[in-house]
Amino acid sequence: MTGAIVLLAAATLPSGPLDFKARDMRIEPQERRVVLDGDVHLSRGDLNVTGEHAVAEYAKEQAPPRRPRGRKKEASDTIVGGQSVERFTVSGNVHVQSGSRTADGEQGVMDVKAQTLVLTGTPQSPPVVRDGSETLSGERILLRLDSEDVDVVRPRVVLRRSIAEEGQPTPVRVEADHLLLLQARRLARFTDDVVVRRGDAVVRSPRMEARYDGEGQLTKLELRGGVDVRQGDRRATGLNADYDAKARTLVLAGDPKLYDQGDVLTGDRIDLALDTKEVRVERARGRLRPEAHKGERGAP
Amino acid sequence: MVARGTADRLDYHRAGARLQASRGGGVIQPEPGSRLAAFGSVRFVADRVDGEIANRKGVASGAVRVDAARGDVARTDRIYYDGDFLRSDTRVDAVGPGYRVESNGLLARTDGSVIQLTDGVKGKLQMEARP
Repeated sequence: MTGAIVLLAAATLPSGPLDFKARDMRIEPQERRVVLDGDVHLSRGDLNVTGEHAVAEYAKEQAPPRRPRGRKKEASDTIVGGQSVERFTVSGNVHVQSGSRTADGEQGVMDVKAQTLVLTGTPQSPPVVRDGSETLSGERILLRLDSEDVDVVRPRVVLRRSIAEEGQPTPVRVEADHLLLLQARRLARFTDDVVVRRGDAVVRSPRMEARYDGEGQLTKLELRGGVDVRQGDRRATGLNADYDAKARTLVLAGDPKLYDQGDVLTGDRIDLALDTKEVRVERARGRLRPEAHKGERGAP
Repeated sequence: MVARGTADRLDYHRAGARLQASRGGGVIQPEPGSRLAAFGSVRFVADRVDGEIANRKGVASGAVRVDAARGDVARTDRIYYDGDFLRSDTRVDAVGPGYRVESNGLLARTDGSVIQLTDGVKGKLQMEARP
């Protein structure tokens, strides 16, 4: 899903003037701004932004570049008169569309020089980026319009189409303090208090990278810096963990340990199958208490 | 504010200080420091101008064009002057530094503090060039 969201950021701001429509427009020359009110619609290339209200702030006037002698003034010069908008603030039910992908928020700030669009919302209605059934929300979503990267503060992601499961897929939900989507590397980098939830499994780690294939499908999650896994009564820890999206197994490494109703296992590597709850331990050592598992399904 | 103007023909009725001008034009020189000063001197032309100077009322109609020294140019078919306001209920086309806009109405304070294009606007805003 994050791969799909990575693609959303392909809303690169093309050069040239920005088209607008609104009910009313107020020009405030001394404040160097233009205010648009009522059904505001801004478009440039395939990027469309709508909202209830918008403020365009103009850059400070600069001395025009010297024209080579004999060159006539071009039509575009006469259109714009040498002043240009450096920042747009759109507010009130902000909706961004680029191709099939959309984003919504309460406020959007487009910084033309920095080539960024920052979406914010409220705790009740955070900004959201959508691509089909995939959604990404957070406290603040920054879309980089030139590199196509996305920076999200306190992201909440549902990885619905990420796992190649047959039938009804189990969604993988990810929360963190920060998310950086790097389009060129097909990578989503979650940092600080990363929590991954899939079914009854909860995985916590300080850092996680999600890798995608060319079609935007998740291939791997790499958790680093200490991993804690809980699934029912079972708990596992390790320094690092890799989740294989196709096999749906989590491989713990770096002094991995498994705690399960009195059983304590350790080894070089622990593989956890999240669906079947089977465990494989390489070079295992530990303590097993079979009596603790009496009465469990499949127990002798 | 100081205004002066010319016309192909001017009828002036001293009683009521009413004037009618054909192909009239004028220049408004805003006071330095006033909000209108941001536009520099403002020139206007129109096919016909009817005014009551004493009452600070008037209407300019037929190919009305307003040019500000700053680079703003507005065209409309009819514009009313009523003391502190300029108002138009016909289509307005305006081009200025960083914008080009069409609207179906105009409301502006003559001191330049508010210039509002109303009743449906569309146009283009120039974005800052990328570094």
